[in-house]
Amino acid sequence: MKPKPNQAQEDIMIKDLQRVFQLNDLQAREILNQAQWNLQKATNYVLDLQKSGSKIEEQFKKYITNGQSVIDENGIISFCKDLGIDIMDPVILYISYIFKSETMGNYTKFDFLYGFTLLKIQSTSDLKRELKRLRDELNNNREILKSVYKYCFDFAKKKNRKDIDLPIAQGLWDTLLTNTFPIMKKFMNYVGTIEEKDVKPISRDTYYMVWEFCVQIGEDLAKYDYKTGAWPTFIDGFYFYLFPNHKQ
Amino acid sequence: MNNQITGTLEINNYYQQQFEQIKQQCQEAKNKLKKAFKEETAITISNSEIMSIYSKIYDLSSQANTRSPNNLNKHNNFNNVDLQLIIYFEDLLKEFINEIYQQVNELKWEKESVLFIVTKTYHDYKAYSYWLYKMFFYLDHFIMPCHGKTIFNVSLKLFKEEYFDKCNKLILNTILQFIQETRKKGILLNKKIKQLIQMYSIMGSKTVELRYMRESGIYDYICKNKKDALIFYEEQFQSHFLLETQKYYKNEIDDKLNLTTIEFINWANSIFKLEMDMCLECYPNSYQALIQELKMILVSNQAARLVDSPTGLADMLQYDQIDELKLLFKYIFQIEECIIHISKYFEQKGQSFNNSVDSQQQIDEKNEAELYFTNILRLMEKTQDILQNQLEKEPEVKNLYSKSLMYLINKHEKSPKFLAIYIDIIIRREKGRNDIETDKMLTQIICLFQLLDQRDIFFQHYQKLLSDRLLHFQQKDIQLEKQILQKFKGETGTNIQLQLSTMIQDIEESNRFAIDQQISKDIQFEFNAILMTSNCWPKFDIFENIIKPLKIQNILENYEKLYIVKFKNRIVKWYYNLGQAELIYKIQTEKYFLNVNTMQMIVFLQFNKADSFSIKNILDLTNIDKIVLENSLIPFICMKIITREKSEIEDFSDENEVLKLNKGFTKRAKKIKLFPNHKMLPKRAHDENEEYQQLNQQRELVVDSQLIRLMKIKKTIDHHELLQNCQSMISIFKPDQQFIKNRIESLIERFYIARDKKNFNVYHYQN
Repeated sequence: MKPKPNQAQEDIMIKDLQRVFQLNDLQAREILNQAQWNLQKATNYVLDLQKSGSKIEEQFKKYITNGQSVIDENGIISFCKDLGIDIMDPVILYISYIFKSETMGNYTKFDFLYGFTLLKIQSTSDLKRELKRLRDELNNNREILKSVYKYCFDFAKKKNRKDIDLPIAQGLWDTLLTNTFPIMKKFMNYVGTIEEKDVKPISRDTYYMVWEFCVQIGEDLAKYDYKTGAWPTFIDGFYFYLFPNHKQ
Repeated sequence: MNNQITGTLEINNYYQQQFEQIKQQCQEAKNKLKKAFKEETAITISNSEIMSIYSKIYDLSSQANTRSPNNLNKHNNFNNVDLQLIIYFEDLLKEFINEIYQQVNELKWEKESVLFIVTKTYHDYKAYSYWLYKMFFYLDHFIMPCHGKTIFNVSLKLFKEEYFDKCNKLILNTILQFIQETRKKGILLNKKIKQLIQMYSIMGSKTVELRYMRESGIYDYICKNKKDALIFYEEQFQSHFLLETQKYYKNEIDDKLNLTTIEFINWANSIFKLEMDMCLECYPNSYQALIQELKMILVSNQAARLVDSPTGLADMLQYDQIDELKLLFKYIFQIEECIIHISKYFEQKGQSFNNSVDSQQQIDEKNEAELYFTNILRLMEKTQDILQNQLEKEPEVKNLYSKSLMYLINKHEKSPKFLAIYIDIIIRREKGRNDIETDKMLTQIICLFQLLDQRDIFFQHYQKLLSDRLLHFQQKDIQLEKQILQKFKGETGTNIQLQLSTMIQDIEESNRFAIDQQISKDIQFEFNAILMTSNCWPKFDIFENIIKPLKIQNILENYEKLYIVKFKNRIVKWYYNLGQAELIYKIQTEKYFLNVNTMQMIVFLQFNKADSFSIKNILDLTNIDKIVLENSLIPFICMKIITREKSEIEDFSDENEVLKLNKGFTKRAKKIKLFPNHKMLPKRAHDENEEYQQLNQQRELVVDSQLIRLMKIKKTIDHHELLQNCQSMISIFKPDQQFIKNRIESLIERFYIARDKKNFNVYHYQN
């Protein structure tokens, strides 16, 4: 058994794989990991995917407009229509997570190939049948929700930036967290009260810590340590919104 | 008595007989006890009597148990004999309780009698329980535990249910009445209420033991589970007691509002003593709670009023009432938050200092600054005197003074700027100062400086003023500047020290260079140049490509050459707006000495060539910026050395306007200062904003570097420690928690530090 590759070697392998196939970093990493970082194995896997994925490719073609190589927003709207879901439905985020899609608003051919194969389906109608199961998983399995939540930061962020704009974060929080964590309702109210001039983008750290806040504190705000805790100032803002007299 | 024993009727009867015997013996013992209680004599039940009852019970119980072994169940299906014994025992207790309760009921009208009867009956009950315990020992050890009971627990429980709960209010009121009487009339508190209060301490516990102290003849319940007892005590006694206390003293205070501050404090201190004495004597468990309550009522709620009253702090300070001050501070200091009232006093006094007309005028600011700090110093001196002489033994008071002064000074936004101005004023007045005075002045200055939080702003202004002094003020005493700078050493952590001392060094070195290189050789007038190290001096506007008169040009070029010979690879730029010159102006057979800056010199020297120029001419001849030209000319025009057609002084819109030398110029004073007025310089509106942005950026850098330094050393640290260490290590300004938190977040974003995966309060340094 070859020794586990280090960070640099992994990156090289990912690049190698991407030289041959059109897939993004996340997908490359997942596939290589699965293949125990054996480049040949990974390559074979992708080739198999492509061979057996003709039906999936047809599905993919349904949603692109002529000449494009990726499904754009319009395609996604009709994709969601076919699935019978609203585009703001959290399950579409879960689906994107399974696809390991790179950017919000686009689906590549490989996204479909990889994702549909993982879900063991061939068509959109198959996917529609799976929706209930996926929804249940998302709602009941906290680990999955956490992974999807964390994934969505990179999913929603633009390539040239390290953070996401507040309205986008708001959308993610609303879609993913408000149903599971009742405290998020008040949180969304708080976000609504932030003035224009104070609006700043949300960093990765803050985004992740919002999850931790929901899980560790939630409704039990007496546990929130505003004096010596390392909570980001954005969340402190929420606390002081609820308890203005604690702000000395 | 139901007889549901399994077994023959004869055995049944036999048990009954035995039981009756036991009952009879118990009755005898009981009567003896009661008699002893009534007559208050010693209890005379002999050991043999006890043993007899004990063994009878033992026999009965063990026979019953061996006979029906299948009934020997640990839980509810009890051997009926045992059950009956237990019931009998409980009945004995209940009967006794009823009797004593009756007694209380009869005498419940006067507090004295209540006290007496309750203490007596409680004592009697305890004794009774104890003796029963001896007699029913077997039950207690072998039978009752299976039922989850013990004799003592049952005894206490029954007492509580059948007696105490019914008398609770009565007992409570009695206690409170006694206390009230002491408070109102000063009668010595009847120590016996201690026993009543002890009942409260014990009634809440579910598990107790009863002990007998032979020497004192006292029986006492000892509590096994303190927690429950405490809760009961607090709920049933302490809370009511504190409420009463609160009500009482609130009323008292209302009556005492007329007292002077000192009278009130004396009264309050006496109350503290009284209450503490009572407390320690009779209810020591409530000590902490009582102190808190009293402090709240007497100190917290009154502090502001006491300090601000006409007979308060102001009065005491004015008339140097040292002892009173001592008392006041000691009193207020019991609660740390109350210091704020004393601080507020200083703030109010300083309000007249702090209240100033918001003006941009330099001159007024100077006056303001001087006034402000003179007053502060006066205040400090006065308090310092009291401190040194009178209150030195109280370090907390000293601390209090510093805190209040700091609070006061830092409340005023402009104090860093003012301090810089104040120091400037003092230095400029250095004439006739000897060493001792200088020393005193320096100590004062450093004292004031140490009170400041926002030292970076202070240094910003100090730098500007220092540069002004060094460049324009003919200072003979550079040593003084150095001395002051020395004093700041160690008080700040950044390189501002270096910058300032380089500025001073520059002056010295320029002078040295001038002498060494003999730059004034071949020149008919005194010439000196000052070399300023870039980045150490404040930012000045630079004007390039000025066309200078030939003579001046040559001199400057020569100087440059000499300099570059000595210091290769350096660039020299001239600041014409900073230099000074004295021109000798001969007109109308008079000689005048005009003090101007070098820019004005260049302009005015043009008039050597001709008597009049148009504005455009001058601009072309000298290549000076228009606004600078305007500012340079205005003083000449005001002094009527130059005349012009327009009467509007600031109107230079017509470039063809001609300026003429005033041929008929005369003035009595021969030395004339013609420097441009600072006010005339167009103040860039975004200047202040820029400065503020710069300041903020610098502060962020300071905090960032401090955080990184700490992380490098510790590698892993928790949030609170990081925050505190960072705060304590930065002295150039006082970053608040929010600021540091923001910087930490920024460092996380830039991957300098990362949170620990498991504990989000811990950070790791990322290499």
